[in-house]
Amino acid sequence: MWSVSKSVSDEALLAGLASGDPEAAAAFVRRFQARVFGLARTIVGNPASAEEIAQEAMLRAWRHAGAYDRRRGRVETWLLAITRNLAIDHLRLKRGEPIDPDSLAAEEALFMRAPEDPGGEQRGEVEALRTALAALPSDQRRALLMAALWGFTANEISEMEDAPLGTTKSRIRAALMKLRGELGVADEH
Amino acid sequence: MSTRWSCDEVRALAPELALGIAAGDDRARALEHLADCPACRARVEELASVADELLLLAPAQEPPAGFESRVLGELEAPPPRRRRRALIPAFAAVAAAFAAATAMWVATKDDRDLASRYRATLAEANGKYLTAEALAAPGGERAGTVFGYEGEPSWVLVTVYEDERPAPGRYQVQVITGKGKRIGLGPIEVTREGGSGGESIPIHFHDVSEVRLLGPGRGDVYQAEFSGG
Repeated sequence: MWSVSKSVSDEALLAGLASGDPEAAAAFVRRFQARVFGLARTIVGNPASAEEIAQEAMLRAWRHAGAYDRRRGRVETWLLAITRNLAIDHLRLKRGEPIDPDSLAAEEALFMRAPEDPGGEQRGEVEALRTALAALPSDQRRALLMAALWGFTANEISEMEDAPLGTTKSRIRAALMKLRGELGVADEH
Repeated sequence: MSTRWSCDEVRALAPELALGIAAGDDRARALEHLADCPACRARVEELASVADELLLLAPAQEPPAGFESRVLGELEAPPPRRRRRALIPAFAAVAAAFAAATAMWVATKDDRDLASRYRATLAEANGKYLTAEALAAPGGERAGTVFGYEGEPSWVLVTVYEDERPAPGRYQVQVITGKGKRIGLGPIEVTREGGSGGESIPIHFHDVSEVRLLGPGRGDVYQAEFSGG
């Protein structure tokens, strides 16, 4: 039987979720629900849609918990990637609707703001990434976030930013490479 | 068939592949390369991990009251049945007959009846056997089913589940023989409702060792392995 506390690792909670342990499942949902809902809300805006997406993300995690491979990333990142993909699917269905640039700018600003209570064992690393992101030229940061969060293609970003396609691709590439360097991965080029 | 992309061409597209925003045709060609190039695959995966790290920056926000109990209520329910889209008509009769034979086996355990129905199905369709294997996502989870039919002609049918589908987009289907020969089949469109597609192949199915679905997202290759070749 599980003895669930804050000291239980994310991986152990996920294993408990996969095994059908109700206490582990409850602890898993409690531990990640704010991050999952927060990301969904950041991407889709609408709270009701964000809740549906967050709920579906938890169900996907439950279904696929057995396939999680820690070599491919942390549990939290894995779960947030599921959430992001669901949210982008949702947005693509509505892609015909006009995008409000002010709305994206507001979300970007929110995204860049450090939390008052960072918490969590990886927060130092996360805040270093936030600092690196903030240090990017604004056009690079914006292009990267439009792609990474909202799933816009380079063509779509190019049109929205009124910038040549080649410039947009260069901005995305430069931003991602800089962050990659900040995360301690040596560039082979 | 188009010329295969080089490492340089794939690496130029690596950021967009890592972010899952590369255009469909480019993705398909790059993924074809990635399936056989561990170095480029590692490069894309590394950039994808950077992109995923960005998600940790999103502000946490508590969901509306009752969220936890609603999720846990869903978790207590039995896993939903996987729904599949209707098979394409050209192969529906054979697949349905096979499914009926399988259902009969489950219902009655009557192996002789199963064998009889199976033989009748194959005789009607000039076939020798029908087989199926799970379509596995890169993480190992099941994403669909690949059917293979040995007959005149032989054919392949890929179905992707609605509720555990890969991301929507155009997916290239590729058949690989035991000797490494690659045969590209037409693409299938995967939507939020899943997707399926199939066609006859210019070789015997018993020569097929693998069927791949080259997906549009994040360098993923979906695979089903067969014993052919």
